[in-house]
Amino acid sequence: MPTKKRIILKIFSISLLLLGSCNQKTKTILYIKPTDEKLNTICRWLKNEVNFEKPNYKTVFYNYYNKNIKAEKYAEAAKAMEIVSLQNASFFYFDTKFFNAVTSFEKNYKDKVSLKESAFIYTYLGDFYSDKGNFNKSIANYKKVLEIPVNDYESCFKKGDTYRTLAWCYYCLGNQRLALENDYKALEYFKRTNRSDLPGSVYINISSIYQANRDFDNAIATIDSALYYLKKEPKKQITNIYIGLYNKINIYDHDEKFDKMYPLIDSVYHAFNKSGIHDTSVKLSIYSYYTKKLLNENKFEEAQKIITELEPEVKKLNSTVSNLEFMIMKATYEIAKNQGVKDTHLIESTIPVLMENKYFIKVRDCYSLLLNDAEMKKDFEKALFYEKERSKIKDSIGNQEMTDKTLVLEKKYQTEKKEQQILLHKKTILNKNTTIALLVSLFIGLFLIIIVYIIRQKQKKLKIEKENTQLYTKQLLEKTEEERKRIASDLHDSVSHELLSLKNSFEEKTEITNQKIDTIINDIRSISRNLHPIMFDKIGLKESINQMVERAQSVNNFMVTAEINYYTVLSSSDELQIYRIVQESLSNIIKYSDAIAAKISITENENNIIIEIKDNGKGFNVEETLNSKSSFGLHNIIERSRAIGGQANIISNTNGTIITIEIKKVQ
Amino acid sequence: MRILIADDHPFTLSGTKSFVESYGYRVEDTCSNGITALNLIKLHLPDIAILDINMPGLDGLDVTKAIQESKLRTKIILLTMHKEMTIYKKAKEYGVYGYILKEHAQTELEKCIQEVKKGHEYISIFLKDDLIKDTPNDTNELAHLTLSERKIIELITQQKTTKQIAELLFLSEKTVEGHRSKIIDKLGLPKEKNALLIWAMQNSKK
Repeated sequence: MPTKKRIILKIFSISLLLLGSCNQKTKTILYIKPTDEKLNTICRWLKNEVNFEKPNYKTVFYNYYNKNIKAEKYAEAAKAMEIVSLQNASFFYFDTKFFNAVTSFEKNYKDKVSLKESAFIYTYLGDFYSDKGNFNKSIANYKKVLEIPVNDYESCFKKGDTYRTLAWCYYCLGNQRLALENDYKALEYFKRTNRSDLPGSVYINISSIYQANRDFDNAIATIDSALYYLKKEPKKQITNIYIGLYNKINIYDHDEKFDKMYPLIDSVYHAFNKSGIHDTSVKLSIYSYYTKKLLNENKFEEAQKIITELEPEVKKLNSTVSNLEFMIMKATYEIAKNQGVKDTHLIESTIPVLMENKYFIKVRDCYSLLLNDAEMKKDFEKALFYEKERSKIKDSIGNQEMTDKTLVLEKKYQTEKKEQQILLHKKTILNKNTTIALLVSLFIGLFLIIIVYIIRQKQKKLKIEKENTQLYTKQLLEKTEEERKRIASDLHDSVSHELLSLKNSFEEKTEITNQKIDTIINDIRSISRNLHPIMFDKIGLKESINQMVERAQSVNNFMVTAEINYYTVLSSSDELQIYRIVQESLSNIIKYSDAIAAKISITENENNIIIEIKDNGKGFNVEETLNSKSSFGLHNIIERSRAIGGQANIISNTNGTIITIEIKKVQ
Repeated sequence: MRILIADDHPFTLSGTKSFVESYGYRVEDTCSNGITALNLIKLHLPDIAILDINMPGLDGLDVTKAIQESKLRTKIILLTMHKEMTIYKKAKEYGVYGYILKEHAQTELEKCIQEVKKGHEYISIFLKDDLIKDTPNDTNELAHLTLSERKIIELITQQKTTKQIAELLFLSEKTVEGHRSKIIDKLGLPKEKNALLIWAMQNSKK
């Protein structure tokens, strides 16, 4: 059967396909950074860092922004504001006017643009508060950015970057656990983009965590790997590279590895000056270390020169963090010059503010400074107090306990990651197994269905064949009967009549010829009677069997009786078959059974007709006889019964034989 | 006296016609099939219709039946090759008057017509002869008995009881009893107990 083969082949190929598809690893989606952003001229101009310093930068922005708000082009307005906000943040430039513009946009138009388009508001606010040292507020804002759905490069990057910034805030608050957690989350998102440099900024954060826990070796190793990533995109990440380098210097400083620190300060300082970066906060950080180096070498004048050079820039920037840093730088210079800090009160007064915002790292720097100052002024009472406070603050940033905890956490995080991977693998394997099991069961199911189908078809075929055979047998039997009937009537009508004419045509009639002809006529009559019951259609089954019985009694001297309780319901041809069955049975009984008597009964019931022929002869082995060659008579009975839709049953033992045929009435 | 003859064999038909006319009867109509025969009978109402059984269209039995159903006064004589008691019985159901065999027409037809004319029935003597032709020809009393009766005597000689005989012959005891008294009647035995047994034992010894 070609169709079945085709079906099986199809199923096979489909399942192969399914197997193949479940072999494919589920890759994390990779978001590719679009090569060029579609921006209009003004936005492109706003985005260019060079223009930020230009005096008309703000005017251009506000004009463009207000024009779009008036025209109700909120998305365009948001885009421009986003660009400017990013510029501001990258230059650590946070002025109140822009802050107000952003907050008013949030209040009035936030809902008019999509979540993705409005996310910059919270990034900016987060940056703003973090610059003010208010990390709790900035965290709350950053968390709002996390609500954006990740569906392209930009959103993925934004989410990752927000996690990184959050990590930085937690770090500053001394919550290293959350810092680490957010760092790894940031890594997760960055790895989904096609930018290989992004993990660098995260590693800077992680390095700071190690540093806070005084694990300086790991801090250095991490900052090196951060620089490795950042250097993949040296132009874009230039600022971050210098932040990383500054951090490295800072680590050496805290680790008191001055032999490594000073050469690094020198090279970073010179490289920075050559790079042409105009980022005051980075510049301040690097310059403050360079000042420290100069002071260490007793080059006071050069240090003084640098401080003087920086002062207007810092004042222009007016960032809280930068101001503080510059103040510390100045104080350090004053202490080194043995002048003592002019106004310790200024520093002391900033401490409570910093404490309130939990900016422990800067508090620590302040105390260090005050301690140095007190030592130099030989005010030991104050020195002891500062020392105590400083170590307290150090504990707040990260004590030994915290170190262990962080390390454990780190390891835990890594194992968790591995476990997750293993789990994912297991899940994949499980999925695969389930799919295979499903397929196998599907196969088995289909196989069974096909088998059942084939068996059904075969049975159907067999049934049809059987029906055909039965029909054929019936037709054969009927045709035979027709033929016999024809021969019988031909003999009876034509031949007999011819003989009769012959008898009458003799001129000279003699008894002998007459008798001879009469004998021939009688012989023909007998032959024709044997061939076919005379006028069966007219006489009917009941009378024909009675006739048969009478003849058996008179001709064969055999005692047989008939009890026929039957009224015509079957067709004449079916009745004839019953007649033949009875005839065959009776002739068998007379020939072989040695019975004293036999009885024929035909009983018509409500649903069926029962024909029974019984004798009290010697009986025979039914099975054996049916399988032997001399069983034509019995098969004849069975086949004829079947042909008329009946069921023959033959029971025989030494007490006699009973042949029963049951014919179901067609309702 | 008007007579109709129907037969699909022309020779037989003319033969029969000449026979009938030789007896001094007038043959009003002749035809060669049952349908014409029935129409002619309905049309002319002959006194006697001599019909063959095997004819095209309607056979002799059908015509007889139709005449009985129409309550026509025409009396039917079937002249046939069928030497069958069952056919005669069927014909009798349809009110046939005469039933004779073609091969014996020469000897019986005249008598048959005479009898039927008088309103009597006539059945060929050769028809009755058909059923008893194989009965034993010995001259003893058994020749008058039917097969059942002979079988019963046979079993009586084997000292079987009525119940046993009934079982062996697939008959009811009542039937066997009936047969016994018939045998006693036929043999003219005294109505005593065991008379039949004694007779049977005696005869079997012979």
